[in-house]
Amino acid sequence: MIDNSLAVTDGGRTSPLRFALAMVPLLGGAGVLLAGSAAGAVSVAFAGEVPVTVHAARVSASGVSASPAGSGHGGLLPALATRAEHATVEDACVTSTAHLPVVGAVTAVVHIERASASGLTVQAGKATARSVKLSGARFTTPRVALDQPTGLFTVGAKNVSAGTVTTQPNAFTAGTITSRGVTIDLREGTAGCERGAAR
Amino acid sequence: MTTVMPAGRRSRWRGWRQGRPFVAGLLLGLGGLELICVSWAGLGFLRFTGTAGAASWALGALIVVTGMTTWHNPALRFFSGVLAAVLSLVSLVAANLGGLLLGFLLTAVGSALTLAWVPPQTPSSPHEEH
Repeated sequence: MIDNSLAVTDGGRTSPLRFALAMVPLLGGAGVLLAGSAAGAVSVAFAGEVPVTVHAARVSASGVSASPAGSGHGGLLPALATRAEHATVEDACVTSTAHLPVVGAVTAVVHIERASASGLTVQAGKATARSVKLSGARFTTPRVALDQPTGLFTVGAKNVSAGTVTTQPNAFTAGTITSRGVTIDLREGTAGCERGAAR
Repeated sequence: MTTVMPAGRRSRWRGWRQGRPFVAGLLLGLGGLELICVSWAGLGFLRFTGTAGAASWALGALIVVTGMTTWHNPALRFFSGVLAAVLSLVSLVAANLGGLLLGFLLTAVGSALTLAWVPPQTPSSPHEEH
């Protein structure tokens, strides 16, 4: 008689066979989901505040509205909060540098052939573009009297398209993000993709 | 330097651990908290907005509950293990890529350990599962 039990913890016995039978479908399902996400077949929801720089050859968005906001914990940094119902980025290069205790600076460079997001909210401290095209633009300022603006302004547009865009988002949320042609490269140091380096 | 625990308390603690999948429940709890922490630390002023923000809290809380269920009622380990496994896969697409993959790995291993745990065979519990 073969006892396939193995003492793994102080508190109980774990059957290696059962453990393998449980892990195989889990890892298989995870592999399918990750492969589908990389191929653009599965949407992945993200919400985060990471120090990234984004270079993109072309950006288009619909249902856009933007207004000044405060960034950081406590709202110390001025920023522009932009909301887009749907946005598409082509030939983008995303750079994020983390300073680790032992390793030092490590930079993650992500090239994205095409990505689309719905329900996108981005709070950016800096954004530049070589060309911008708007349609259905609007500008509003809340007022209590005709000669006295009372609050922050809001600019918006039905459709926006821009070329050679560089932005440094402080925080973002998105309902779903679907990407295609994603390559991730981890490098030592702070060198990322330079302006125009997006393929 | 070691901390000396009274013999009675130590034996009770060891008996408590031996009667349940302790490491599995611990990993499930850590995985659920990691999902929440990634969302909490990363969202900043957008702390509770977006699909991923809400999903991280919901999935993380549910996974912590499965870990506590595994500890407090080991007889329900198959239910809690399968539920945690499904939730870990859902977290991959709904909660910041499973808490940047770390939360998914903790939860996946914890759920597999839960399902693989075999209770000690004692004569006093003849109706224990085989």
